[in-house]
Amino acid sequence: MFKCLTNWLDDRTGYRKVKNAVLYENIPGGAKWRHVWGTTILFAFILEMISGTFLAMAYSPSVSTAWESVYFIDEQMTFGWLVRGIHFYASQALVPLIIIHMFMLIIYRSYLAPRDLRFWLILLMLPVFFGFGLTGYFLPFDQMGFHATKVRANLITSVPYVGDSARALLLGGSDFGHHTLTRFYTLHVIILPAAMVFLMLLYYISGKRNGIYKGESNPEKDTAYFPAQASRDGIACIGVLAAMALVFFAWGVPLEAPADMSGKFEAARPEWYFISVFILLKFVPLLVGFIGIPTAIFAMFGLMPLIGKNRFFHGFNLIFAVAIFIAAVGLSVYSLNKDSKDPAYKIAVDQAHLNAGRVKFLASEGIPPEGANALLRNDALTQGPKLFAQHCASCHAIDGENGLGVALAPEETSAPDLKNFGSREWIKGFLDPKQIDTHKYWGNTKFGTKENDGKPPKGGMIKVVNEMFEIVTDEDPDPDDIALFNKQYPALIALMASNANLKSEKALNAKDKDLIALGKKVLEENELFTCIDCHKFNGVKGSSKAVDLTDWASKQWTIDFIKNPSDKRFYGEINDRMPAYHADGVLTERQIEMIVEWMRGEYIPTPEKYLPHSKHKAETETDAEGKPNKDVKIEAKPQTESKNKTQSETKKED
Amino acid sequence: MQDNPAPNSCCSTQPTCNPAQPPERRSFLKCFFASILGGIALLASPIAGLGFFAAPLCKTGGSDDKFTKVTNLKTLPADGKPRKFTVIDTQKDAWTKYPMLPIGNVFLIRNADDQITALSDICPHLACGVSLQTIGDKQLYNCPCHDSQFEPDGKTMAHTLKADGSQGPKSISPRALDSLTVKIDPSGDVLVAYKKFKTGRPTKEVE
Repeated sequence: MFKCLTNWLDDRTGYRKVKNAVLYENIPGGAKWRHVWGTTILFAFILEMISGTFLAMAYSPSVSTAWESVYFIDEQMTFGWLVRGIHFYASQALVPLIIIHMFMLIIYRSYLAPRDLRFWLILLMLPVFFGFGLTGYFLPFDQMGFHATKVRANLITSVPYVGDSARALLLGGSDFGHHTLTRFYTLHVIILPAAMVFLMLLYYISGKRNGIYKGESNPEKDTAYFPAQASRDGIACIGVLAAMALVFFAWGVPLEAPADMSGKFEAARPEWYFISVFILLKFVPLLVGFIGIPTAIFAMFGLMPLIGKNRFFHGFNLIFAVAIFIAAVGLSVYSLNKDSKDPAYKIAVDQAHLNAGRVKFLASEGIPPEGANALLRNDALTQGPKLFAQHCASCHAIDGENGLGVALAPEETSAPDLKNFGSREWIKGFLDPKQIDTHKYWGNTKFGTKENDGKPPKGGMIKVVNEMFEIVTDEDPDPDDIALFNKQYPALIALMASNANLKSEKALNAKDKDLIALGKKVLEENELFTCIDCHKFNGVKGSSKAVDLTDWASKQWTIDFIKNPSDKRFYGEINDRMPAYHADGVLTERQIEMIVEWMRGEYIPTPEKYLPHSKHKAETETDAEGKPNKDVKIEAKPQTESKNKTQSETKKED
Repeated sequence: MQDNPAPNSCCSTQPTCNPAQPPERRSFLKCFFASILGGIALLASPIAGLGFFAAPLCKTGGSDDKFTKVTNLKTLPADGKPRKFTVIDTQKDAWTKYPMLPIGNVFLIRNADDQITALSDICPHLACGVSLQTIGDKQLYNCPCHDSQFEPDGKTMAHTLKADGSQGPKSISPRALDSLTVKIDPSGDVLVAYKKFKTGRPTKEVE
């Protein structure tokens, strides 16, 4: 019955002939391990086609969905990580496999006629493979792929006459957008695969005519492809798969933060196999680096079958191929080595990974229709330090830095350092005659002595603080006064800090309940600390001569202050240089809110599983001495999260 | 295994046929018409498609200056130091209209004599974003991609500086950082006509 069916099919298709021709192809000289490389390339390509087909079912090429759909494939879809892992690492595997195959063809002189066409077909496949790599790097639309592609698109414009048009055709417009993604996608899944399948078919047909395997025919040794060579090929393919799996489980598949088309990305680097060209561009003019030299090399390879008939030139071909290989490896190593020594690059990479982890964490709650970038644009932890550096750090420092890890010299700051603004530590320093007149507080403001011919301005806070402290700074202080001061001063500090209501001092504020109540009494008594002569406080009658301290340093107070410090509730006319950020339309309300939330540590920290791998290892180690507190871990990270340290963190640093 | 099974009684319908070969006698006219007609039929879709594909070539970028508010004079001290600002504007991409989106960054420099210069942060070499850095005691714009460096006023540095302060190779950018037109309106708002320029060439051309 089965026989009858296969006969029927064969009668209508002639499949047996094809099957036999494929399976029982004669291998002159017998099966050999060195014949496996072509098959491994075909194997990796088939892996790509299969995994790619499945990825296409879930990928969505548009500016606001490309990264988002890849993120969803990676993190949420069943086996998504695996399918993308296969797709990614099969593409990586193709690079060394093609290099080995090319070397095999050159070493064994398989490029000589009549196999010259096959060699040229492989050369033609190279740009198609590059096309796959270049489009595939871009499609996830993360920072890395976008910024590398942006550079490449600009490289194209350096080609005379047609460069600009080519770029516009490739991008689908004058700049990157939805249509860049749809065009790259079409290239990646329709045009390039069609071209590749076409070239592979030609390659196969040409092989059938002249024998796929080169070798001396010897009736004693000759074998059919199946099973002797097929089993070697099979083992080689499994080897490739195993190597892929190894690297996959060690490194995973990268996905940086979603492309920020207006921003910059200092960690941008091309794929590892293009790094040699990238570094070349630092030394030679653009056209030479990305068209001249590669075209010349390509042409030299194209000539190989013609000149290789001569033994001497065959040797030359081999040396040339080895030299190109060594040069490419050398340039890549040079570049990697240079990067590994560049602290700015390292910081950029760390920052990129932190951002990627942050946005993946935020995205785990769902992504708004405008895309994942909106999550980052609305995230206090991401925007706070950037906004601070841009708008505040020309006067204020935060822990001596600009918010992004750049140290500010004391003379560069003209306003208070806002590290832990509103905390006990901050207000204690402010109400301390030794500190208030330094750069950390008012030393460099127009209220400082430096700006006033060496004298504290009359009626100003610096003078008041000095006077308040006179009873303890006296040469011969009265012990009773000191006792009273030591009782009332902490109460006042606690009261102020309780108004600020920082997240990091929540426990302290609960503990200091009695102290805070005492602080209120101290204000009402108005004896030692005569604050209400000028200021207003919660529930205490006071004057509005100076800044209203009702809810001082609370989230809303701080936001209102930044919005307009010249408001009569705050400094009024005596405001120093601080702009009215909202009243003058510089920052939106949400932007101000994000700065304040970041300064106050009011954001959900990135959970550990989203933190860069190496980082989180290092942090676990340092944590051994500190409390196993989640916040601490987060805040041990560089740059964006180094501020607002909790108490245990501060102690640890001491 | 049989290579060429003989037509089998239970399934076979046809004897094996000869491979196709061109007929001996051909009429030129017939061949000509067949090719033309077939060609026309087949061309319809590629022609439409090519037009569709090449559409981006016909669109010209707006050359008119469109000013966008970047900041207010109050936040820009007249100290000659570059400060970075993000340009936020409405933007259209194919079918999507973004109401307010960051479209780029500019460095604003306000001199003591109240002259304001605006520089794009896009490196004219290959469009990476430059950042303001201090190397040694020298402030400069550094491009993270291919080591282009620029003076605070945007001019290409004669020699790049390495991170340790030693002299590096010549800055590779073909021209200085691109300046943008700035306008101050009566309320003190600083407006910039934000544009992107073609990279990799010595002259400044709007993209």
